[in-house]
Amino acid sequence: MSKENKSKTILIVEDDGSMLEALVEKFSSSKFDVLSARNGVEGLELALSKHPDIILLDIIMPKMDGLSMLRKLKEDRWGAFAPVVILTNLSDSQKLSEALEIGVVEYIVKAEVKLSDIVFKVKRVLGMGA
Amino acid sequence: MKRISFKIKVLVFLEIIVIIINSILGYFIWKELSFLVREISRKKIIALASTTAYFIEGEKHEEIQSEKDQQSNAYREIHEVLKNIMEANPELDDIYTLKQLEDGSWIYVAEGYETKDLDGDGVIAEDEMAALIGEPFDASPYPELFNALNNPSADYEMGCDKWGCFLSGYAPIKNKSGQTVAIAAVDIRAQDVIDFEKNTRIAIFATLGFLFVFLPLVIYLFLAFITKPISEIIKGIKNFGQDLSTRLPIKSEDEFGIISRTFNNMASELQDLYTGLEDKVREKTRSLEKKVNEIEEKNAKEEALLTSIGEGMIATDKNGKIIITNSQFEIFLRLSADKITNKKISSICNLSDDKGNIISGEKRPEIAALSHAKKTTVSLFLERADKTKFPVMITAAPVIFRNKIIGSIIVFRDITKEKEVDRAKSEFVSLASHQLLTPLANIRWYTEMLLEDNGYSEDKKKRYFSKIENSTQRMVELVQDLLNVSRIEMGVFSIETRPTNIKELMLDAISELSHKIKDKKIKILKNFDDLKSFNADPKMLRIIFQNLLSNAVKYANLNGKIEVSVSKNEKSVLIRISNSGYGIPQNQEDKIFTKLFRADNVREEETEGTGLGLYITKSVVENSGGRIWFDSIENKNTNFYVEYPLSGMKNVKGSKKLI
Repeated sequence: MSKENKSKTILIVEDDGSMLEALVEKFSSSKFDVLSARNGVEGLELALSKHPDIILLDIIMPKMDGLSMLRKLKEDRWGAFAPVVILTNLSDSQKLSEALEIGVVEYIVKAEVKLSDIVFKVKRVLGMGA
Repeated sequence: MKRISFKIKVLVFLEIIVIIINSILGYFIWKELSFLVREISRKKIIALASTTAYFIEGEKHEEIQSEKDQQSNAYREIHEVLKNIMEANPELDDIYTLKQLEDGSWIYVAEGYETKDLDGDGVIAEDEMAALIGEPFDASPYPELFNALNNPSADYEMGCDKWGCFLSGYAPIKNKSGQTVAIAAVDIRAQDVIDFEKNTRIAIFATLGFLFVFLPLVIYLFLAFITKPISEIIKGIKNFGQDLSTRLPIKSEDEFGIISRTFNNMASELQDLYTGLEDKVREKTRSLEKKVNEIEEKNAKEEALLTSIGEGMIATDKNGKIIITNSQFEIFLRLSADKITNKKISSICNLSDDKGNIISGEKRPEIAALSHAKKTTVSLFLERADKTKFPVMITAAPVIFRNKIIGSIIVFRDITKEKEVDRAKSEFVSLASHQLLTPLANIRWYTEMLLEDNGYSEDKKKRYFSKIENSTQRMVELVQDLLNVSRIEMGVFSIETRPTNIKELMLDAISELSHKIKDKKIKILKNFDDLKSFNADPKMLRIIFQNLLSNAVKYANLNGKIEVSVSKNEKSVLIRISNSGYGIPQNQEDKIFTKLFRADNVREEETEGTGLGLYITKSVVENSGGRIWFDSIENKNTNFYVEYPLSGMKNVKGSKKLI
């Protein structure tokens, strides 16, 4: 139980305002410390400065897309091992394999899951248990 | 070489023969005649000598011994006989008898006459006196004299002495016991014989001379007569050389007539053959010219084809050396032909795959074609010497001649555009799916949150419901756009006009975007000329306004402004929608209405957008009889203009209706 007391920090990088709002709402209510960014540039900056426990990353974004940000992140000593979950509406296998190649722990297609599923998966990655 | 005519040759030849024959013949005739004349003379004098000897008794000669016997009867009788014979034969010059003494010498015995006026001067000179009895006679020049001791003979050698030239005949005078006691000699003047011989000679040689002169003339005339037709034939044949219609006249039915006729037949055949030949040559020349033209035309076509096709093409020999290239390949490589030919492909450009790996060895299509006779088509990148590259579709085929690979033909197709279209298509698919899924996910998630109801405030709930509504609206619009594109592409869509209030429609469209306008704090400026009723399809106008306005809002900067105006003049109605903001990059202005195209700058900044809006708008405007254009300054503003004639949109009947 003590584990749960220490809240985890999640960085959500998402350009769609509505979706970001929904995700922030859900993870906040699931006792996460939530950081949010609207594009890759902001996301990378936050990730490298705040070292969140996990990053939820969209792919199609203005300024810098998710995969570019991921590559940059992997160049960082901390970032190389930071767990990243891709959350996107791109379902094509090319992007998936590209992401897996760079190094991600999960690849989630937004429309295929409920918000609670996303929270569940993130918790599982973090070893938090349901 | 000097030409000697046949006539002259014949003439000279015949003349030589005539001369030879004449000479031989003349000689023999002359010889024979001379012989005959002499023989006659000889026989005559032999006969005279024999007759004389017959009439003289041999015993009487034995009696006569010397000069003193001149008065003897015996001498008288002998003299009388001789004198009588002489008188009877006036052609005789002299007649006398000779007697051989025991010592072998000869002496005169008797003469036919005792004196002789030889020179005819009427005086008997001493040297004109006859020889005396017993006067010695030099017999040495007359060998016939000795023969005459046995038989009559004649000395035919001209004997000339002081008395003149003679022919002499001798005959033996015998006694009763048959012994030769003396010789009777007869002389004839040789002059007659000589004259006769001379005359005969002259006559013969005159005849021969005449023949010598006359015969060539005869021969010449004869030849002229014979060769005249030949000359005519020759002349005819000469003319025939220049004029094939020349024919020989046929003047007789002899051999020349036959020759002429035969020649004429031959000439006719030759002429036919020649004219036929000329026709054939002309025909052949014509067909050859035609062939050459065809070949040239074909070559030109092939060359034009080679140079004008968009594909770069090269042909290599069996070692992979380039032997031919076309201009497109030169353009591809930015090299001139002389830098390409005679080189191996690998030495002038690299081929690389998607990942930038250089293709080498057996994997190179031209090597596959040359070493395995395999036709291959691969999609690779062509790298120039300066490392710039572009995607190409390469087709390499071996050239096989008599079961041997003699080279290869390699065609390079620039597939930059295809790649671009491909990329745009796959991007569109992922973008479209992304944009369809995004509102769906939103709807799903907000519905989920509302269903969970974690004690949200009423305001929050309302906000979540409006999120769901907006997402649904976004979905609908997207689906409509997609459907409209497919309708535009499938066929003519209908445009049904009716009096429409432009201003009202425009304001409706603006109000639909009011949320976003508020979000970005955009200022809207509106200016409408008085135009109550405009003949238009309101659906079409809505599509135009929605698209142009939503673009204006989407690409306007924060706190930017949008200007909307509808103005009219005597001819047309002009709608203008402007916004401050990104603007359109100049190098992409010509692509802005292309389906699926999104300018680089907005793609970077704004992920929403399908690249369909302006494509649909342009299709609608142009199909309804309007005109659309724009001007823009990057990072400053964009103005879109739509113009219609004052009469409004045109009606179009179609099977499809846009939404």
